[in-house]
Amino acid sequence: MTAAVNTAQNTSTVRPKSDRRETLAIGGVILGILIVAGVAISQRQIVNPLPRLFDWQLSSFYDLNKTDQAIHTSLMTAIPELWLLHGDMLSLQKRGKSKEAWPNIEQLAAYYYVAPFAEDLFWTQNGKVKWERVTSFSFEGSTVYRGYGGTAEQQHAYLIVLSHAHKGATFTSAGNIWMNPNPNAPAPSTVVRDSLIRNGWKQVVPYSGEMERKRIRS
Amino acid sequence: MKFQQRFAALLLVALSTLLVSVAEAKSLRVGITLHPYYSFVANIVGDRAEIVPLINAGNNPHNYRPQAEDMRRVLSMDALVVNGIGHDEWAFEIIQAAGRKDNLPLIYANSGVPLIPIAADEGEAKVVNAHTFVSITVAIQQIYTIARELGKLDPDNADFFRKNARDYALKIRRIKAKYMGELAKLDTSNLRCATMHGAYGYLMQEFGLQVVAVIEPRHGVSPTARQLGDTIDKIKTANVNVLFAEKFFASNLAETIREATGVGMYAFSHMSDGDFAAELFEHETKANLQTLVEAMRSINAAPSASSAE
Repeated sequence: MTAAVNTAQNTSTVRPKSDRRETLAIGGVILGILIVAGVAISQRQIVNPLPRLFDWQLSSFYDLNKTDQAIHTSLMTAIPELWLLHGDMLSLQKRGKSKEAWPNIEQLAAYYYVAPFAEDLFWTQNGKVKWERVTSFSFEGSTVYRGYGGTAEQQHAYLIVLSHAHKGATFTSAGNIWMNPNPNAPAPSTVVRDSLIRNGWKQVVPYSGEMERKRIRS
Repeated sequence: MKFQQRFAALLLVALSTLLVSVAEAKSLRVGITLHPYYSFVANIVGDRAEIVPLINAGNNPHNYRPQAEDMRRVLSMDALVVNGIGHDEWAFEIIQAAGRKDNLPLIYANSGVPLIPIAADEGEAKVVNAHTFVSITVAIQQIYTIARELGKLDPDNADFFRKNARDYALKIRRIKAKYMGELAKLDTSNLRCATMHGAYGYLMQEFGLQVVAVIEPRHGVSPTARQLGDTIDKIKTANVNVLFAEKFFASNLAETIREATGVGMYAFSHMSDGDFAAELFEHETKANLQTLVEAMRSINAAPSASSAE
């Protein structure tokens, strides 16, 4: 430490030997901490596994009421079931034992007990939706089932669109679910995406276990 | 000639034994983390794979702490079936500790399952319900996923696994249909239930029933005194008439709530107790659905909904 004596005014100023260096050092340390923290935070950001939704899409997790969510859950399980049955029916068709390639609602409900087609307690509690197999889209390579006339509060109409993207595969789960706020929305004349959107249909994007796994492990 | 015949017979026996042992040596050792996954895999693979539970039976999966012997088991597995969405996080610690993070095929049973929030969660605070195995509809989707992934690991048996998966799915769907029939005879419109644990959202959803309140604020977390008080108020306000507690993870909280509110109390199985068994899932599912039917009968037998308070 040095002392400068001002003899003219009889006062003395005492400065620490390294005041500027200390200030600079402390500033440097703070800056370093901020940089390290900033880098660490940027590296630790949780990846949002949810795909960014368009305004023509709905999140099954956030956007659906309980009735629509229950029907969506059952439809998601029905999709692999439908493909398996389709595989069976194609085999029967080849052997001349079936004219149909896809199960009808009666088969799904009465024989296989597949929700939401079976008219059971689930069906009663979730708006008694009427279901039909729409066959007119076969030229587009898609098979469609429609649910309409649900009586629950704010219930949607439903479409299951099973696409032939994996033609030949009998054990796949390729399929999309669309909902329309009009519970009696008519069957669309085409399942081309833009046409569905123009007619008020919204694609439901499921929050799957795969997305949750990525969120947890990110 | 006789010698030649005997020699041929012996050769045939030796060859058959060799083929059987080769086949056995090739069969997969499939690990599982939770009881229902044992049932699913057992019904899919039949006698064509060996099932290895990652942890011993009798442990609570909510607060399990990995043991050294778990690491020994994971070393012998060809694949491991996991919940993967929050109910068996300890499995990943075991895999990491055993050095199998990069070489153990994991089968995420829930990869294609559309998840729902824990019942009674509102707004943006919705939290994923990881109990997809306490259900029938969603369990079926997991069964198909497991069968498909096992088929990729063992292509020779892929068709066998797929057929078994379908037969098993139909079997458990018939259980559901039977109890749906029982419940259809009862008036379910008066049911206003709360559950101790968030485990039953998927099960209630597939019967078209809704849970008004879940006592545990978060999975495996006991409520604070204030949260408990709020829940009791919510139960009274919503006229809840049934509380479903846990069959195996007893809690005196449930008794406290029953005393404070007078609700009828029933116990569901979380399917996480007892020995690992192929039949466990069916057995516990039937027990849960029977409990649901009994709860509904008691509500139906009550003079009126309001007198249940």
